[in-house]
Amino acid sequence: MMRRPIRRGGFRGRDMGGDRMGGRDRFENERPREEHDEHSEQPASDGGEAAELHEHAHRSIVIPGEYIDDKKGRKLGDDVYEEGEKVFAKVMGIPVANENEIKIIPMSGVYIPNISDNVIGVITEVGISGWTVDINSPYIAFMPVADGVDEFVDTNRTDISRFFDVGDALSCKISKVTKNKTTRVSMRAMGARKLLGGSLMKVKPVKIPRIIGKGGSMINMIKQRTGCVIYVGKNGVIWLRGDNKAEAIEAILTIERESHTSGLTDKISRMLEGLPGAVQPAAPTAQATAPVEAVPEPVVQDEEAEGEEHVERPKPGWEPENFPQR
Amino acid sequence: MGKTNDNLIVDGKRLDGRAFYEMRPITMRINAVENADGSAQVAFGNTEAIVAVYGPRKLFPRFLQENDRGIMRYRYNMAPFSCTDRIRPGNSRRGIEISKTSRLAFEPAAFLDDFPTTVVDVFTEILQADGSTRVTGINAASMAMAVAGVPMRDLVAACSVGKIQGQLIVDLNGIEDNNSEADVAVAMMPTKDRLTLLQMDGVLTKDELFTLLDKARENCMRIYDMQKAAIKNSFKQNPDAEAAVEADKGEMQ
Amino acid sequence: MKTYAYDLLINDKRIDGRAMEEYRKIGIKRGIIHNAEGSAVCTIGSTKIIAGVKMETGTPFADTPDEGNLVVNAEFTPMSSPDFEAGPPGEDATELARIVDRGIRESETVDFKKLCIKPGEKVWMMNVDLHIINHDGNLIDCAFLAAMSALADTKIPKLQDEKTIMRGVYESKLELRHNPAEVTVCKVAEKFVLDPDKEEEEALEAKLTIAVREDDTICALQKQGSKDVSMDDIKHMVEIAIAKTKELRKLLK
Repeated sequence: MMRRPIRRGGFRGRDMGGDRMGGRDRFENERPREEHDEHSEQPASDGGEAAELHEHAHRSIVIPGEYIDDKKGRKLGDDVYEEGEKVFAKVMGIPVANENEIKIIPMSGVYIPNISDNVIGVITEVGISGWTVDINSPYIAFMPVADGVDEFVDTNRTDISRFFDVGDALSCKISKVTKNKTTRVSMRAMGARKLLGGSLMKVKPVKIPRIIGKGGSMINMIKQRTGCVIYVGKNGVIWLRGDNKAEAIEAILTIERESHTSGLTDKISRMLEGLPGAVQPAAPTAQATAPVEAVPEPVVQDEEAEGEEHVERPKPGWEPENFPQR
Repeated sequence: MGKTNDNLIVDGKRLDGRAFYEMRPITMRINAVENADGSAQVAFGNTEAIVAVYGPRKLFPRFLQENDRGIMRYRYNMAPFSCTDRIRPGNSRRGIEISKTSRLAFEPAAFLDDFPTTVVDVFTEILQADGSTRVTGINAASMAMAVAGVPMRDLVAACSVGKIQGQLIVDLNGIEDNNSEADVAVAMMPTKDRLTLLQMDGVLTKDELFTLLDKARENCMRIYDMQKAAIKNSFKQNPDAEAAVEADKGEMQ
Repeated sequence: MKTYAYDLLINDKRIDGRAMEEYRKIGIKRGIIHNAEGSAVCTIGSTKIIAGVKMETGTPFADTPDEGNLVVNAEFTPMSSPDFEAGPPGEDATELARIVDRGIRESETVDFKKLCIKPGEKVWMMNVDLHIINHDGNLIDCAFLAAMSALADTKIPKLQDEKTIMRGVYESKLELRHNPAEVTVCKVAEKFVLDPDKEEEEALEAKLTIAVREDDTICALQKQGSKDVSMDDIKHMVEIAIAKTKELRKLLK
């Protein structure tokens, strides 16, 4: 959970509407329908984890300090520790011990950045040579200018807020994490983009695999049924845009709440029946990964969109402060 | 509940009817504070503590941050209405000391190295005080930390032991606490059999102390079993989930 | 600030699907703190506040030698929200306490003369302590319900030799002469809404807290929020409050 980003003078009252943005959110109408096939940024391992959660859910939850297994030369995941030959849980979760590794699928916990994670962040500060990005973690991230913008920028002359400004939401990738968790993000990644319009929501990061589903099955169903564009960040932040946003949000919150119950896929499917604007699935066997659209350049579009709203999970502490006013 | 000249032991039993080595009825539950990352509420008889854990989270001001590890902050606070006489809100010296030793009860258990520059905040509120408040708080904090996902070597379980009128007892209530010849607070990592908190006031012989430590250890293990059950049971909401999960697997692939 | 909650509210919609003047589920339980002379917990949705009444004896104020007195205190505990820090009550906590106090005092609910023990020398001093456990919006309404329920639960302790308070032994129940209820009416754009949750509160522009006695007399008013309102708005908000307090009052029976 994160504290509200510290307010610095002038940000709150900043007028992002009218003058700079010139009008309503054009992009909502202008993006072609194919956009719905855009693959939300999901790490390759996600679906797998969700499946594992289910395979092993019949095993009891373990609590910190509980013995899982003897090491027997296997690889250890992050949430377990060893004492001699014995391996124990560090956090509450479902233990997994197969031929290759011993690990825990955690049931709670804050998001700790890992290199290559695809996350959704919000700009909290515009510096001279880069931006500070809130990634819903105890660790704040930095994006240097060169990783945000494709063109050459003379930072002595340019105010880089013309590319990204406070309150902008981005889909980006963790590019570096040091030993004491100093973190960098970058737009130089497939699917990285500034997220215009739409709304943001937060869920517990440990629920993201379940929300995505194996091979994206769950999130793709939600996207198809609601016709929404949805980007899912590994850091527990989700961005949605579309007419049936409210239904998509409700479905996601349901998954978060009931992630361990059975028949969840059916339940969500029923919840989202018959919505106007549903997109037909690509093939009868709605299979694994939807094609990733090669998004042209990881660079900011022109500053014409505005009217961004955001929704917060009804949990305190995080508000992307300066979404442009309508 | 203060000092009394009355007999604390009547007919071989304590005033509340308990045997000497009997703990009070204990209730435990998690998710008592919705906004928290993890929370728990624990009662030993009429002593009740509620704990919320936030973190790991960003720590300000920056000079408090440790580069190579996270820190823990533990705040023990008694609600004004928790005791027979009203407690004025604000810090008390007793509260400050208890906050410190309680924090140290967790430091060996938490993997703070995993979270440099951050803080784990533990807020313990004593809603009702009837003896042994600090150990009740520690028991709740331990569960709250597990629920929050703070990595730990083990839970921490705590209990009080002591001596009244020459008789060794466990789990002192308010009147016993105020009139004891000795009262000892103990916290440990139960599965590791390691002690993390030990405080005593009063007078004890070496043998008495060693006996009490054994009793404390026994009771901490019992408390640990309850903590474990309370956490695990709250996830068993859907008894059909286990069987049905196998069926659901089919849809995933 | 224009947020999702704001967009919904200006279209008469709410995040959880409630009607604009609908409260979340309200729960009240009395007598939960055994050391308090009166106590209650109130939950509105996930907002949870405990009120405890402690009675002490003391000397009366010079200008009211035959009257006891009442003080309301509120603690915005750091456990209840990541936005609160430990420390003395800030302006919001102080304001909340004083608003609740005014609603109780100005409605003449408590007969302070009945709290007199010995005129000019000794009277009962009542402390109503509000302890926020979880903050999910609408703290004032929840606090008022908790405080009134705690007062309804309050018993006056027996005094031994007119001096020592015999805790746990009671003389009589505290008499409540009136039954005030209190509603905070909120305004955003041209819409009026009741019982905002924490997210909705961020979208509000102005609020008016109104305490109403059972005979529909208004006994306290407090405007909050940084936007201005019109006289018609005020009148409208008062009408809403008078109607709504009738419903809320039933909960205090």
